[in-house]
Amino acid sequence: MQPLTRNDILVRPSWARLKACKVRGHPVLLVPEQVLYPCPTTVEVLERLESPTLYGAVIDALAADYDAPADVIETDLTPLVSGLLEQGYVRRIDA
Amino acid sequence: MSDASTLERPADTDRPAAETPVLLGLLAEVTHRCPLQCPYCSNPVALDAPNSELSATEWGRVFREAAALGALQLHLSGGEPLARRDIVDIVAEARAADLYINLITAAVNLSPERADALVAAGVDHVQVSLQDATSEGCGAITNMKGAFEKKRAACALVTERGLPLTLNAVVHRHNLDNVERMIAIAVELGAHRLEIANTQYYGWALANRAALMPRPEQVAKAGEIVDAARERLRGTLNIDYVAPDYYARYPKPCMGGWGQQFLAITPSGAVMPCHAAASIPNMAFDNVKTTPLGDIWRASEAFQRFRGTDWMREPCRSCARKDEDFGGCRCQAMMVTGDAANTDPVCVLSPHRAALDAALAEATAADTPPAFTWRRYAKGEPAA
Repeated sequence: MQPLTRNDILVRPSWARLKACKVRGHPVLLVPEQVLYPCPTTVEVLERLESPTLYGAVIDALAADYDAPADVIETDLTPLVSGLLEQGYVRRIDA
Repeated sequence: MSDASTLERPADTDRPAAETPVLLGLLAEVTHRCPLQCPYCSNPVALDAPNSELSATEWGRVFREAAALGALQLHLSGGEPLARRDIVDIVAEARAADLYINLITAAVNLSPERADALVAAGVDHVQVSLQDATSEGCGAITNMKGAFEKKRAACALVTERGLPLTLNAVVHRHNLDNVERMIAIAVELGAHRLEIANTQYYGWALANRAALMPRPEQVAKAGEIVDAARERLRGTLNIDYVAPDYYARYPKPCMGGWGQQFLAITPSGAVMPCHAAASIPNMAFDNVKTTPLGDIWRASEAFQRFRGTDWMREPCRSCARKDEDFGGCRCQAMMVTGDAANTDPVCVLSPHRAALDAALAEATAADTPPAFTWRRYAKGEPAA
């Protein structure tokens, strides 16, 4: 898989459904035949990828929200988002 | 920002020990009608008649009740769910209940128009059965000529509409040597996921055990092929492999534990902890036509009988694995040992393991396996 860069445009496919589960009291990610419990950071990323979005914009938004340097956010985020890409729950699309 | 993990699977029960578990998913068998006659079908040998099936409106009420119990995933199956003329209405009811809809289909009667309607109604994911890697093999197992070509066309309809596609290959003696080709087909058809599941021997498959049981060398080779393909196709195709029970040392955690996460509903509305539970004699199943689903889930005798660990005998009762595998499959315990409360005979600690080994030896001894008993309606008995 190609390494992730700030210029990549990412999107969460419509079939990877993020849902606030009232019965369980926390968000769930619904994908084919599985229910996954995303960590809070993953939820923040997935919420921002409902429509095609530059990965760099996601990093910058989280850096602003957390008042943290963008390069630190990027270092934290890239393995997480790469994992989502590998599993297909986030897709890279052409510009 | 630092979190220990990205995605976690849910804990087995999602609740304190003394409370009723939170329901995670349900299998809705909306009909037992099916154009195929696969000899390992997971339906009971006594099939529900079409005139006993729940209506789309009744399914809608059941879906809402399931969602209120915590259900997130719906496995819409059969028989063949597309055999229902009102399948689009059933899907719409499920979507209104905010369930994630997995349509499990043989896909031999899917038109572009129907695919459009199903997508519009809210199907999230489609799982198509793949009986073999060739037209001849597929026809021999389904007893339907042309099934392979129809399935391939249907898979294209699914992926063209942007839905994720899973191919489900039930494997056995007649097709286990074709696993490499099945993997290639999954890649070629743009599947997201390939489930390669060795046959579970209950219902129709038990009637065909001698015809279906794979040989040891086939099992070993298939495992190697799957391991290599998983590595090679990482990021392209997810491959789930369900190993054959009779070759295992410990049982699987059947259904994630009896009455812990899942329930199955028959076409006529009977609610069961496992879709094969009807094979256990003297077990009564409440029906959604007369009883709210919540009452059935929480308190029905069928769900309480093997829920938790208090029902267990030795060697399960004192076993360190009891919260991991829940004693295995109740139906398999029934079929092999004659008592559903026994340890699954797959377990090497079971005093009945020898019976399983004997069945395995007998089934794999013949150079030429016996002919199939086809899955079809025949006065409630397997038809030869």
